[in-house]
Amino acid sequence: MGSMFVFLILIIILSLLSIFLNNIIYIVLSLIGLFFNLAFIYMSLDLEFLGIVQLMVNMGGVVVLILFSILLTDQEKNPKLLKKNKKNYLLATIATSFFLFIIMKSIPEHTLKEKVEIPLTVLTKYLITNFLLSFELASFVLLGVLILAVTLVRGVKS
Amino acid sequence: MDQGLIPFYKIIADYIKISFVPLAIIFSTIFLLLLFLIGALGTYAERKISADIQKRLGPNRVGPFGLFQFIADALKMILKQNLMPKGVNSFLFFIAPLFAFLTITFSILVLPFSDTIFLIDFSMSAYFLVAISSLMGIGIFLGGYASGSTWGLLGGVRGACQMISYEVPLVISLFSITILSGETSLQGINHAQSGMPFYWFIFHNPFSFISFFIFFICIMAETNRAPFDLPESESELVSGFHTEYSGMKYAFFAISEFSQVFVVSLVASVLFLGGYNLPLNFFDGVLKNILQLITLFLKTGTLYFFIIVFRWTLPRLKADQLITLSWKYLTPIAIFCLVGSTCWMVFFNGKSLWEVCLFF
Repeated sequence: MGSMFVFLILIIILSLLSIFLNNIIYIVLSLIGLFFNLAFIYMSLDLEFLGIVQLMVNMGGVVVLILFSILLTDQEKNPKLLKKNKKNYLLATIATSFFLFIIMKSIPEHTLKEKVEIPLTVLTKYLITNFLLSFELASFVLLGVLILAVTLVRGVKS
Repeated sequence: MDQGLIPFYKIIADYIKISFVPLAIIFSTIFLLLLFLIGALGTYAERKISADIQKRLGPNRVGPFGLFQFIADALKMILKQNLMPKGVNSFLFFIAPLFAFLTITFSILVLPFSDTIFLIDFSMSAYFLVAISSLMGIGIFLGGYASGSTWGLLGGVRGACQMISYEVPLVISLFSITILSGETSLQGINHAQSGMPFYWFIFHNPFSFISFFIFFICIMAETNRAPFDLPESESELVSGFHTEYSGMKYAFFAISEFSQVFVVSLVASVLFLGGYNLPLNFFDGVLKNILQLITLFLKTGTLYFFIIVFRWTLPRLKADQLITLSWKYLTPIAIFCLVGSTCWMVFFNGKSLWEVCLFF
């Protein structure tokens, strides 16, 4: 469990960095580190499928897409893309606490106490039967995040 | 671990009754060093074979047959000055070769060399290799971007573009192998075949035969080998994404490129060419493992040889031809093969072509 805490602390640091850094390329670098650590958290929990998907989709696809869209930006004209004011922090806190609340509510209690092994076949079966709607919703939210990232990176037209 | 295979370091640890953790660390370091040695020998093989093809001599001064040329090269790399050109983003410039290096470090983890000679094996390890190889693309892109030169940037963008487009047919042809074997780990796929050539997955059915060639083309593109060496095309982009690199930083890129060629040809021989399975199971114990290692290395070496020969025979594709080949030809054919393999498994009850012919 000791190594787990290292990963967790790294995840927190990297996710904070990916918000507060100013250079977009460095933000993407911290995102890469974040995805990597997440994948290893999954793998150390014996959830290889989730870990591999994390690596494959986020590292191989999303990060390269974001890197491409960064190339389209004009970084010298807009060095600070995000204006940091108190309103943003307030919104971020509310969104985070809401997200945490949903996550804590949605996790079944016994899974927190004991280790549950999920074989790949069972996982895929559940993915297309019971959890199809939530799966689709999650992908929809991710798509929204992608579009948001692209629009954020594009900057403001003068 | 479905086959109950135990890695050799655990056996040794059991034998001398200590924890296997320090042994695992020591042996993974040794494996990594050996992989680098193979990568370095790859540069020698490349020079010799290309010289043979073009009626030249190749390295022949340092040591017997110029065999120590790679050591001289490595020494030269280490002693060279680490240049940092003007306009370079120094942090990214430093970190990009490490990404390429990380790819090799992770891929050594899951490679199966024989029944007991491997480091770890988990389900999805075949997909882990593909997932981790995208790090190489990020490294190439960052290297090109950080260089602050037009050549570097063009090479980096081409590299990233090429890698994400060729990953698609690569993964699809891997899917068809998963359907044939019902396994997602490299050891499992290896044990789903057996030693005789007609039990290999390449000859399982006509669709997997096509799949192998798609996979082979895709691994050449993934490792930036000619005819797909657009990221570093010497005749147009000076040296592409590593134009500005010199000394040890360049060595990191070069060594990970050559080691990755070895890694992918090993994976191709495990997936399609029967892996390390021996045709006849007469032996047991250490001898069996050594023979398996030799079998695997022969197959890998053959593929490696062909990759080198292709580099020195075929002309480079244009950038648009490269993308067209991936999206218009390889991806549809790979999907067709995937559907074909699935239908074959349904209609012939999972029997291979050989077994079907024997039945009729």
